Amino acid sequence: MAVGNEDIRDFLNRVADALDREAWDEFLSMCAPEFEYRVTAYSYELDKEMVWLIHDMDGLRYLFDVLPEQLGRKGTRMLRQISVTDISRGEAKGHVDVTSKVIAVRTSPEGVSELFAAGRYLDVVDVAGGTPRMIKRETRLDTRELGIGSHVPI
Amino acid sequence: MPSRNRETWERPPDLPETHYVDAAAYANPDIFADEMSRILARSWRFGCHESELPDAFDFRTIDHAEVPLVMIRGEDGRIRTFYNVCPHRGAKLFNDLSGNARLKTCFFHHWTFDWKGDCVSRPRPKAYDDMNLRAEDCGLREVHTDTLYGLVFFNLDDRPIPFADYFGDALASFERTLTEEPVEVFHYHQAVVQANWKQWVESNMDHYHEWMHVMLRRTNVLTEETLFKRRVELYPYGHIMFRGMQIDYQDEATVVPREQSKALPGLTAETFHSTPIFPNTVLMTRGTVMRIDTTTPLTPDTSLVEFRGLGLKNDSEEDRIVRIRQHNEFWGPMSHNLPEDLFAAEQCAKGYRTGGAAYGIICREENMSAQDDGGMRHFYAEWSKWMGRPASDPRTKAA
Repeated sequence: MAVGNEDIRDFLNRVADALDREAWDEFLSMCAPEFEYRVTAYSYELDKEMVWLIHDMDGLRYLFDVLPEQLGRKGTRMLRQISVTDISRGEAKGHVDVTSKVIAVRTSPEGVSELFAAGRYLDVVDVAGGTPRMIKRETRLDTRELGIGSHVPI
Repeated sequence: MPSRNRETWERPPDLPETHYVDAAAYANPDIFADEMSRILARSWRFGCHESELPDAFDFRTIDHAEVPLVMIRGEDGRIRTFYNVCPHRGAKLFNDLSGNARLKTCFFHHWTFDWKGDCVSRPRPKAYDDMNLRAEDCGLREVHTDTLYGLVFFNLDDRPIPFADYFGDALASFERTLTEEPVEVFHYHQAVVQANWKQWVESNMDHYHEWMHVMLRRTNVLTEETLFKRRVELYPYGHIMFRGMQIDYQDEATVVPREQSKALPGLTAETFHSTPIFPNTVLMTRGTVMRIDTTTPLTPDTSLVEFRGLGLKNDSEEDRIVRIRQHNEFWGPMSHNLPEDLFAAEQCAKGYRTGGAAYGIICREENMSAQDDGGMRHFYAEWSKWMGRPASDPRTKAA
């Protein structure tokens, strides 16, 4: 069955929702084995592109495996609000390039919400098999001041 | 061990005065104001690495010092620092974070300045000439600037401690690393931390906290052998060097491998060194990458920390991306270690800010091995000297 633009929007919303719920296995199940995740930003201080995180599937699995031991406050949540702005059929057959605006809001255990980051998702989604799967995600941040930072992918 | 009541909680620890810090040193606004004028305004402070200003007329603004600053590489190759303020009506002169400008014209009334800070043009100057306000009296305010191994420092004091005296040999271990091959900054980010500036500086002097990091528990950092091989060395003016640690990254299979990356000159890929430079800068290496932290106090309980990552300038694209991964896994804003360190600084600040905590204990003596508190004692001895009051009782000024 052909995957339409609405299916892709639904898929990306489900990906964001899995991340919000910290359902890491569910998130990984929506990624192809060759999935690559990056966080990038441009430094006006250095006049340079920067890469702040790169993980393949093994790296992400390790990251999620270590998470329970990482120091942080139990009950801190992140919510990702996405808005798809462009869907175009990629050069590779069966691949779709999708751009979304993303706003990540972090909420403390006390219930105080703060804007954590703003930017874009630059995704490549494999739709060839009829079920969308993430091939690549670049989280392109406008925000470069992340406070104490984050152990979880934005 | 019994719990304590108010009296016993607030009673100074039964330790030498050099071995604890009173909570007021972290939270008292008057002491903070004194720190700004007695320490920050008089010490040599890291501004940037010279790779951030590679060409003549390159500039880099520093917005978080007490005054706005701009560093400019001149036509003569020297880097100078000026107040980033137009002397005419006080407008900020350079508004971009970095760039290149042979001359800089203030947006407001078009006064123009060259790279030496000289005022070279004022539109319709006759009205000033008539008032005897000469162009040579309208230059920028220059700040002392000097460079060591590519590290550019500024000092807001017009009569600073001589640069060479201030650093002595404290950075000599980094000479080869920073000069034998070109290095450059590839990573920069800032974090506003809800903590006193010293609480962040301490996190790089207090190696006893290593137990906190899951990644250090999973590698060999905390074995008896590595703990006692590492040494704390003390240098004049409060500088410190932690050296002697070799990390076995192979202990953890998914850690980015080091063996194919070229180590920085003078280091092996496994070397870990850390050098806190008084008052607010720390250089550290993990063999293939270097990190520089600079902490700027904003308020008694808010600080801005800049993080830089450095590597070899001549890396291929493939080598660079591996080096970036090696940097990011421990030191990036989304790394394993850095968010834990920042979290810890903020949690400590909560204890001191509220008056809950009374003293910081820095009494561990382990023959100056890695987790000896001697580094922190050295820092606070220097702090006490500059402040004219002991860190153990900072409300009391020295006679």
